[in-house]
Amino acid sequence: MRKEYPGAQAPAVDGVDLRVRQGEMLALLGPSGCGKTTTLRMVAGLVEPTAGTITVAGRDVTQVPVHRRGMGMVFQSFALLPHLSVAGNVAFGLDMRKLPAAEKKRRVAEILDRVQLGHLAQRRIGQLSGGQQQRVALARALVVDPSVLLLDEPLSALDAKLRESLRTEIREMQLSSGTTAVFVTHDQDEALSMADRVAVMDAGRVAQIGTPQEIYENPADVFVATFIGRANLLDGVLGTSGVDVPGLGTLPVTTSRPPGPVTALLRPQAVQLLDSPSSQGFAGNVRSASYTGDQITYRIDAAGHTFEVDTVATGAPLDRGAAVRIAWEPAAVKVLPPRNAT
Amino acid sequence: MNTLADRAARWSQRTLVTLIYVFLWLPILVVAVVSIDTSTFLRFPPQGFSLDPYRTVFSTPEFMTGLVSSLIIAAFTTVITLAVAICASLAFTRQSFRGSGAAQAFLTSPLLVPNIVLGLALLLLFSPLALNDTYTGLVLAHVVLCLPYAIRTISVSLSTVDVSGEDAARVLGASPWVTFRRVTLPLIRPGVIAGAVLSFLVSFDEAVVSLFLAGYNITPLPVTLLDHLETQAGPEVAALSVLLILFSLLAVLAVERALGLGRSLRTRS
Repeated sequence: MRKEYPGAQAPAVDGVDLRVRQGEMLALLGPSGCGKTTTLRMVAGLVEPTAGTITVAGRDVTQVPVHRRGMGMVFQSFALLPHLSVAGNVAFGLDMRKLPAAEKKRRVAEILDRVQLGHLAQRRIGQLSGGQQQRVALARALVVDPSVLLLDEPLSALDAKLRESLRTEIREMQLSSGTTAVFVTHDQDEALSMADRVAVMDAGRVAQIGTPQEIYENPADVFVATFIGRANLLDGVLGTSGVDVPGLGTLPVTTSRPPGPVTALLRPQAVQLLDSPSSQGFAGNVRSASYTGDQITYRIDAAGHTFEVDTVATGAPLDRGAAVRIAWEPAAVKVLPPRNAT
Repeated sequence: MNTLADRAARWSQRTLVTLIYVFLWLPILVVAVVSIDTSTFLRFPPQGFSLDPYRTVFSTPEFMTGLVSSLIIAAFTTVITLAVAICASLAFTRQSFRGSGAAQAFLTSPLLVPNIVLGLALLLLFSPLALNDTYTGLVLAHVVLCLPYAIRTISVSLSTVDVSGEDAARVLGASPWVTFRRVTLPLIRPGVIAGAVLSFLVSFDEAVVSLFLAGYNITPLPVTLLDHLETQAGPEVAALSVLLILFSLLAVLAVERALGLGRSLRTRS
């Protein structure tokens, strides 16, 4: 399956060009107002692109009206129809496809069993909990065998506990049905844990697209680096031997970037806290510590910078002001375009 | 604690409310009492008791033809008003277009214009079009009068309906018309029914505008009543009034029972 929009020129979405592979789940991740929902609604046909095309399985559907695109969509508000029962909602798309009553009944029963709601088929929508409504919405979208499954912030109306269990459930449903899916979220954990590939969007553009690992480990710029996970950012100048950072000297790096101003990225878990007194690394002091059970995150002042450092919790956190040394592998330093030059 | 002051306050409040209602209902009560008098003219207090006025109502042919005319006009008015009001409300709540506010103000403006002015204006407009004293003319005039009410109730219903339900239906394969019929219409049913009842009653009661536009061929019931009052103001007029009040009351009660008119009129997003 291919999907392209060379340059949808709506102000909200500017030049987004994405290809989703058959059976893949692609996440559109970005802060609110970055154009991810508009992009999804253009794919669904609910919003008309100003320019550009949308292609599904080689067929240009840009001019096809929304009700003939054969897609399935799950909305943030679930968008269930309150005047119909659970089964009535799920059967809606099959009604539109004029399926024989027997087959309709069979498919509704089958999908409701798969989302473990078989016993609630005759309930009114208002009688269901949030998680149950979410499952009805998913069943309703999947029962029609959609060419593409579109999910618009499907979990953000639910509480944290439910969100995590439904993540797995949605992903498993999508994998077992082999449906190609596009998934919009502002939650980086959701995107990283559910999607095959993630497209990070910023101000109507795709900042980077790649597997969760690629995006986390090799972010394209400072925006992606800070939006996905936490980051220590060091501004400096790239020279022949490494990045010159005020206070830290020259940090050896491997990069193909041309010399000039850059921002160096260091993930908190790449920084090590050296316990034995040594001359390695940089000397610093603990500014604060936050203990989360399995891990302690320190903020450490060293050489005129403040570093965030993740350590595995092996006892009580160090006291505020304690003298420590920090160090990192040269390969852990990623060189990004300078942060103000975008 | 039930102190004396509390009780006094509660009782004076109840008395006040009761008095207000008595004041509001008193004229209707007078009409009801007069409607069972034995005289041949309207007087108060009555000096006899008889159901003859009610018999007179049903044996007066003008009243019966007036009733039929009014029912025909009200029925057509209601259907046309609903069709126009649903389209207009959809445009106002679902689309944003230039002049939306002006169009909305224009369609609700008949509420602000005195009916006597409207009646005269329509008379002048309809004369060259040969619409005076025709069902077409009367229904058109009544639609203008009823639209503000219907647009109001239907718009309020529409604005409480979540648009994403309509989006979901469209993605699932429902054409715009099917989406309207299977999703939007069932969800705004309370507003549509409230609008229908209001339109029917407004049209059925309308006297002023009808007075300008009707006369020889078609005489709606309220106009018949006024004509009748001029020549023979007997208690049958009161009897007819009581019957009309009961009719309106029953219509409102039936809807209230079915889906809570009060609620559908008040619901806001």
